[in-house]
Order: sequence, then C-alpha cells, then structure tokens
Amino acid sequence: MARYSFPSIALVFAGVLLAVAPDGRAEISGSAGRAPNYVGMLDLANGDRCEVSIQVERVSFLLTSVANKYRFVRMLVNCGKQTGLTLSSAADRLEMTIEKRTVPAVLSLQKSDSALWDSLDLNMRQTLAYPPAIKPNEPVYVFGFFPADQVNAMPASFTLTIASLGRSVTLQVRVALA
Amino acid sequence: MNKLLDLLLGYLKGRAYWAALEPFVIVAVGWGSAQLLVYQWLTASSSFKPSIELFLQSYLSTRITIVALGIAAMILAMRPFGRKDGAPGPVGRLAQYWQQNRISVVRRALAIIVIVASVAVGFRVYSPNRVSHITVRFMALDGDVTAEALAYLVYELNRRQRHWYFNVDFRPFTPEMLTSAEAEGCAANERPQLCHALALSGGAPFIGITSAPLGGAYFAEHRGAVSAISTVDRDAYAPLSTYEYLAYCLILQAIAIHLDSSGALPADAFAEDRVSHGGLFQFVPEKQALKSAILAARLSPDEEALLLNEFGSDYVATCASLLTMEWLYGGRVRGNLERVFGAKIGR
Repeated sequence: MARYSFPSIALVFAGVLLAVAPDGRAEISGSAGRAPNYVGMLDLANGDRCEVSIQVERVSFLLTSVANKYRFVRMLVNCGKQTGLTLSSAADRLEMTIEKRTVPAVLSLQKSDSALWDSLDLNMRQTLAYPPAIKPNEPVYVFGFFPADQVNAMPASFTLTIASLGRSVTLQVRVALA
Repeated sequence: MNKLLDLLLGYLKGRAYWAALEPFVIVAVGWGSAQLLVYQWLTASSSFKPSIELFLQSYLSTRITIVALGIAAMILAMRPFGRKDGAPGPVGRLAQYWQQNRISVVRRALAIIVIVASVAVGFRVYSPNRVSHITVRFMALDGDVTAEALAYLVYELNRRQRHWYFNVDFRPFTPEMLTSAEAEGCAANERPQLCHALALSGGAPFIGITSAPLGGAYFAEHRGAVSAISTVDRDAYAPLSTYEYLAYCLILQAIAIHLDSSGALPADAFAEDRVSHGGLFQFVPEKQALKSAILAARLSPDEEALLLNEFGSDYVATCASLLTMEWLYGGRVRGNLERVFGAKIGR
C-alpha cells in the first residue's frame, strides 16, 4: 500500500486553501453594526406612558420600496398596563425629519392610494391598516408609508402626533451602550 | 304478537308460493330488526333521543330501507335459471353453462350493477352533510365586554362538539382594512355591519360581533355563509348579560350558516311573525320576546328532523345541548367567567 509523506500532504492541503481563497474574500463584505432604533415616550393623561419605537435597517430601508412609490417603516407602540390609545388615520400624523426636511407619512393607503391598496389581498390589508386603538399592555405594530422620491437617506428622527391626546412625541435614535 | 306472527308464517309455509316468498320475508324481518337495532344504538350512544316517528323519517331509517330494497332486488335478479320447458338448466362445464345461459347471465350482471349503483346513489343522497368551521370576529365590542371573555365562551362551545368548531380572529376591525370600493359600498349600505362582515369573510363561514346598530335588523342578520350579531339593543335582553345573549346568538347563527351552506335553511327562516312557539328560526318583532326565546331555547320536532337529516345525530345532540345553555350556567364556566374575566352572568 502506498504511503503518503508529510510534505506531499502539506502541499495538497495548501493547494486546497489557495483554491477556496477567492470565495473567502466575499465574507469580509456586507453590513455590520446594529440598525438604529428611534424611540420616544408618549405621556398619557393618568401618568401612564406608551413607548413608541421604529427600527430602521439602513440597507433594506433605502433599497426597498412598495410599488416603487413608498418606503415604509414599522412602528411598535407599547402602552402601559392601564391605559390604551385611540388612533385615527385621518387625524394622527407621523413625520420623518430627513436632512432638515419634514416628510409626512401616509397612514391610510386606502384613502391616499386606493389603486395600490385595492391590489393588496385581504390578509395584507388587515396587517397594514392603521389600527383604531391600542389596548393597554398589548404591543402593536403600525405601518407608515413615506413617498420614496422624498426619502433618499437615513432619517434623523420621527415625530408622531396623536390627535385623541393632542400630543406629539419625537422619536430619536437611542444610543446603544456597549 | 309472536303468536300472530307464528300463525301467519305457518299459513304461508303451507302455500305453494312459499319457496318464492321466503327470501323476501327474511329480508323484511331483517329490515325491521335493523331499524330496531339502529334506533336502540342511537338512543343509547347519544344524548339525543329521537321519537320513533322522527327516527323513521331520518336518513338512518331511509338507508336501512335502501339496503333492504337492494337485497330484495338482488334476490329477484338472482332467482334460479329455468329453461322454457320448465326443467332446471344443466350445470356442467363452464363453457356449456355459458352457452346455454349467456343472455340471462349478462342480464343479471347488468341488473346487479344497476342495483349496486342505485344503493350507492341512495346512500349518497341520504348522507348527512359535513359542516364547516366558522370564524368569529369581534368587530366592535362594548366597553364592559372583553374579547378574552368572549373567546373563552367560544372555546367552551368548541369543547362540547367534535365535528366542527369556531375560530376566533382577534384582529381588531377597522373599515380601513377594506378595499376602497368595499368601504364606500358599506358606508352607503343600509346594512353596513353585514356588509363589513361579508367583505371580511372572504367567502368563508363567518360571524361578526359588533356593538353598532345593524341597520335592517334588531339582533342579527344573516346572508349565505355570513352573519352579523349586534349587542346594541341591550335593554331588550336585560337582565340577561351580553355573554348569555351572544352565546345564544352564536349557536343560532352557526346553525343558520350550516343549513344555508347545504341549501336547507327554511325559506321562511327569521321571517317576521306575530305568532310563535319559540322556534329557532322564528322572529317576533316584539324585542322583549327574545329573552323568552333564549331562556326556553330548544329544538322543535321539525327542527330536530331537519338537522338530523342534514347533519346527523351528533350535530342534533350537540345543538340541543348547547341551546339549553346549561353548560354556561354550570359551576365551572360561570365561575371562570366571573373569577377570571370579571364577567357576571345575569341568571
């Protein structure tokens, strides 16, 4: 039976490493770091609070759009244990501050872009529709749609105005402590 | 009775035609015994105890009759061959047998195929229909009615049945979920809640519960596979709680949806009538009469027959049991509603 010497085995091993080396280079590209989390606290009448947050992942936010018309964000609203929140797509406002400009979000595609809205299936519409209320201690995601042609960079902050409270909250990037 | 039967059989046995009649007498006795056995099994295996009259109108009795008639027809088709001279045909080798009887054999084979197919079709026609699951959605609730307590009530309803159940869709409803055309159409519709329910149903069985007025009806509206129940008229069913009212309405609307799906909902169901015996599908315009219907809810013999033949004995037994609402007033459910959800039951 033929026996392999150590130098020949080492040579083959080195050849294999060289052969896969070009693929290995791809692993050093990509994205690193955390997606910024914009957070704000909305004070309710009885001292209770709702935490509002939007996480924006830079690449997916800037590269993807809905029907080439809207960039969307998903806002998590989590109210305290006692008090909920009454919402209204017609009266509430969500705005994005970007390069010293303010861009308002569309909260009701049904009213603003019925052609796009009607093209979505029932399940998707139920997910995306602006909710009528937030119950206490039940986190809910709310979607806001920004005109894609006005959003070409990462937002500096968001401002949410709740008409039923007559108050606004500014969502700013929470600095992560390392 | 036995003596009379013995006398009759003794008389028949002495006749020349007894040999031809005997197999049919056996089939008739078998038919009667099968009816008796199945009736006994039905009353023993289920809480549903039908009357003999109702049982004889049921699909079970009809199926036994179909099988008995099929066997009788088979006996008739398979009677021994006889040659034209009256002598029995020779039973020899297969080829010779075929040569002499081929027309009869072909005729009988065809007759057997027709009989078996007829019995199969009869079975199919007289089979109970399968019932579908139903989605329940809380489209809008009064402040003192919680989705959690209602969901518990619905799950308790599910616990008591094996063949179908309610699915609870907890997503809050807003007309903004509808397409623009649906939203406009429902806003202008005289029955906006039923319109919303129809749009949300996607064509599947669906019951929407709302605290908003229905428009065209007091308590509930039904169309095809969809119903909308409103709690807006609380004074009409007080002092019964909204939970009792909704439990009754859910059972009633589920039955209506199932019957409508199989095309068996009576044409006059929920038609206005001033005379009522408290039937399930009767509607009296006096709002206060609803309390009487809830408290004395039952299936009338006609309704029992309808449900038995459409959906089978288990379904009737379940509906009859659910309608009494005893399950709701029992210690466990009532206790859970009060202790866990803070929901008071009126009765």
